[in-house]
Amino acid sequence: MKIFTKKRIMVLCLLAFSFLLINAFFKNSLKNFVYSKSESLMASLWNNGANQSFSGKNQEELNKKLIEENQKLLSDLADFQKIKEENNFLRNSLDLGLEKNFDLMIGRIISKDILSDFLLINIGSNSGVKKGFPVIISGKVLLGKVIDVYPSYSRVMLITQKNNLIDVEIPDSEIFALSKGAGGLNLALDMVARDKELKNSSLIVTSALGGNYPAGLLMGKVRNAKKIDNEAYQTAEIEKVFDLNAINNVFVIKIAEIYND
Amino acid sequence: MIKEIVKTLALFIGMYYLFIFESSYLSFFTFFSFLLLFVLVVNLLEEPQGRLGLFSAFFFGLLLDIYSAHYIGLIALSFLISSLLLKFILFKYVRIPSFSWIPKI
Repeated sequence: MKIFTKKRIMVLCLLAFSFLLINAFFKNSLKNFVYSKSESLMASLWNNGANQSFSGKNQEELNKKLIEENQKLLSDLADFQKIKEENNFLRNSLDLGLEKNFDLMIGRIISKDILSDFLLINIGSNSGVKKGFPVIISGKVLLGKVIDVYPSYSRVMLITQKNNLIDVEIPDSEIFALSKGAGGLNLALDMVARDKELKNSSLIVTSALGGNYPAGLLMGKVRNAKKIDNEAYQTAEIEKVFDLNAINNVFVIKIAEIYND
Repeated sequence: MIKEIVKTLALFIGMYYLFIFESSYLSFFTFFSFLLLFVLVVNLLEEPQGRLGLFSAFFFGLLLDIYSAHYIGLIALSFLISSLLLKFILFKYVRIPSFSWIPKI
């Protein structure tokens, strides 16, 4: 018995040729068509999954964690009130305008790739989405960026996608570093200078250095900081501040220029 | 011939709904792909002359292509060629028992 028969090789060549034609002329419209046919089913399954996974968590543990976070936020709020007053006074004195708000578009998550960290959302080029636009959730938490745009849908590469590099900074200790996606919804912090002191639980935000994202979007918190003797840089894990299970809607930021695509 | 086409269509429709279920609902609970496991098991245990493994590998690859950022056909053809190679290696060099009760296309 032969496995590679003439007929099979012919079929393979024909398939390859037809795929080439499809990719050259109908790739985006074909994908858009398939997504539009499966959108309602996928969106309802996504909602069901989100609800069930959320209710399945240990409620008591969740409550305890929320109370602790609430207390911390209240104390932070008191500090921020003072800073806000100072800030307003300085802005008025220096005649500066208010910080420009983002121009946002709202989208709904339809599905997540099985083998990698990509999301499909239900807004596309018809709504003005372009490749490279950052995607956030409420609280200015960065989720990723648009890497593929179809007429009514877009594909978002999450910050956790393997080898996705983002310039970040830790504002409280003035450290500039790189966030590196590790795949499987995990993130690592890399290229932290050895002479800097990396504290666990410090907040990490995006830096304007890379040119891909606006500065100041929240990425996560430092966890398990490591300084190994024979390594040139310090590393750490990044504790994400978003829980994919609890997200249904996302915001796409319209930015004027994309420096690095 | 018609029977074969109906079986192939049924396989594709079944895999399509399973894929949708995996990429939307199951993505909250597991990173594991049951479809990938199905394709692997069928390809390993099927009789060498069977075509279920080839079709399932091709369809799974095609669905991955469509629902990801890849070019359409890239993973589909890679999986199909891998499946053919696996069958060739298993038939020529490896002696593992195959299961005749696996449905044929």
